[in-house]
Amino acid sequence: MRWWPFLALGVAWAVSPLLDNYQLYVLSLVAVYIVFGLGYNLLMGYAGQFDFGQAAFLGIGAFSMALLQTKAGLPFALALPLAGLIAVAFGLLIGGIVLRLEGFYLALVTLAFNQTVVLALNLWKPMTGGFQGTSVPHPVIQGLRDPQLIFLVIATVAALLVWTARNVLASRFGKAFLAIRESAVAAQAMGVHLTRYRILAYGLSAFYGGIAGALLATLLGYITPDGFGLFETIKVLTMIVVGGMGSIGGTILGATVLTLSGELLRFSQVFQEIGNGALLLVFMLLMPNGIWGALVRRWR
Amino acid sequence: MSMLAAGKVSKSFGGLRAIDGASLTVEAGEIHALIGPNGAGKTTFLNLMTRIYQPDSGTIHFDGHDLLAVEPHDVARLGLSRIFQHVELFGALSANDNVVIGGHVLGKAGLLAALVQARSARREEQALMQRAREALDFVGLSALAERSAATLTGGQARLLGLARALVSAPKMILLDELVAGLNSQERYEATLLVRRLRDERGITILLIEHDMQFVMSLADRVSVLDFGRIIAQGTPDQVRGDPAVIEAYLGGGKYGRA
Repeated sequence: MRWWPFLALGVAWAVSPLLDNYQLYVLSLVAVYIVFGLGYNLLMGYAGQFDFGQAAFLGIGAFSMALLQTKAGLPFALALPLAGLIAVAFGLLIGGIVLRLEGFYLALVTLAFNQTVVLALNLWKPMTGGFQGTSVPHPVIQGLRDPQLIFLVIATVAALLVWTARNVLASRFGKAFLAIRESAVAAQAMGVHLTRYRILAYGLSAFYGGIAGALLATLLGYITPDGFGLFETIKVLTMIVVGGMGSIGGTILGATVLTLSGELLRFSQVFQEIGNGALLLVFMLLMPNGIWGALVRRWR
Repeated sequence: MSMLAAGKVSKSFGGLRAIDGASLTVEAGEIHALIGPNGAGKTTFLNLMTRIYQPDSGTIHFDGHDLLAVEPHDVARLGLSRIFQHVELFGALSANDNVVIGGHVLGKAGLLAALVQARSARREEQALMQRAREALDFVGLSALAERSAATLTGGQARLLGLARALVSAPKMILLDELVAGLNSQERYEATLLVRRLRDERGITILLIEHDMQFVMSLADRVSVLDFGRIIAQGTPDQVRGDPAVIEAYLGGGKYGRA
């Protein structure tokens, strides 16, 4: 069953002509947050790094995607991976900076990183449009409705990234992340290069964040720097806590549930924030392994 | 040739001289025991050997390599493996995954191969799985392979630590209180296991222990550490009769330690 992400993709391709524009939009949003959530879970749930600045990578990816197309004139297919790689550069940088920090201090520094990125995007007006934001082009193929095309692009990229996440987390790299989370001293004695693997976790997670941002920008068509602040980090944190820390299935479940419930509450960001906060609290206290963890325990 | 050679190693923590010019040589194929009263510096000594601590002075050589020129994560790659006094298992992971991580140094596949699960990466993972099964079988934990490590009993956890240390086929294993907290039956079985490690796999052993009976029945040679110094070295019988050792353990002389 190594190929299940592509099976799901096949279903997505098959049903996409039957869906209306709003349904396509919501499913695209789900796929974007699955990618974003996977990157965050890799860093937080697997490697055990308490990072609270993940939305910075989402923002970097989103604005890179916009500017690479509008200012540098790159085609969509080139801008997308480049946006991911630009996020990786920032990921490696911040990963190197916070290397010796843990827990509370790590959380604070990464939070500050996020706010700095939002501030910089706001101030860099000639390029980003400042707080008013900038519009993002989207791919066009004759004969396909825009929302359907965007959905298919996003679903394809998401399936690919779910598959690679599954692969890398099942490999010795994923095991090394888990080992560092559980006992850094033992991991090191087994030959795990702590520095290298911590920075690698940041790089990978930034790539997922950057690609998710690029896809989100394409889906929304218009982005503002303030859309990539703490609220987005809390949102993705809620997703992986509700779904399940340290699990791919949990990430997919959490991203789906939270995106759908967010759509139900879309009339008010205040209600979304309160809802996320309440969910975080309830799950941390009552179901620390998330819905997925509870399901897995029942099946066993 | 000696497998492990520490020469005049010292280490202080603040004003405390934990290790005070200790020298120790472990020959290849030997089962060597390092004993000493509580607080003598045994675990500190072991942490110096695995590069967790940096000595203030002295030399450490392992299998012809200058260990002090090696990064802590490269110690395992040279073939020096260990178990921890406080076990340090990866608690949330299965017993099997614990052992698989013990074989981390055997992995060669790069990140790209892992991302797309290239055939080479998959073959390597399957080979490691097979090794992990063998290591679990060796310590008698096959039936518990899928259990999470945190749910194991104290004795099982120690055996899992041993499986995790031996899966990478090291040249030498450092055992920090392998039998602490085990009952007499488990101790007996642990004795057999350690002997089989040496006899069947040719692994050199340095073990740190409190339990004198366990040490005396198992070790070829014994070194005694007291207040950070090696005060005696020899066969179990030589060490047992050494006045300095008796004094360190039982007290007496002009210091009158209890």
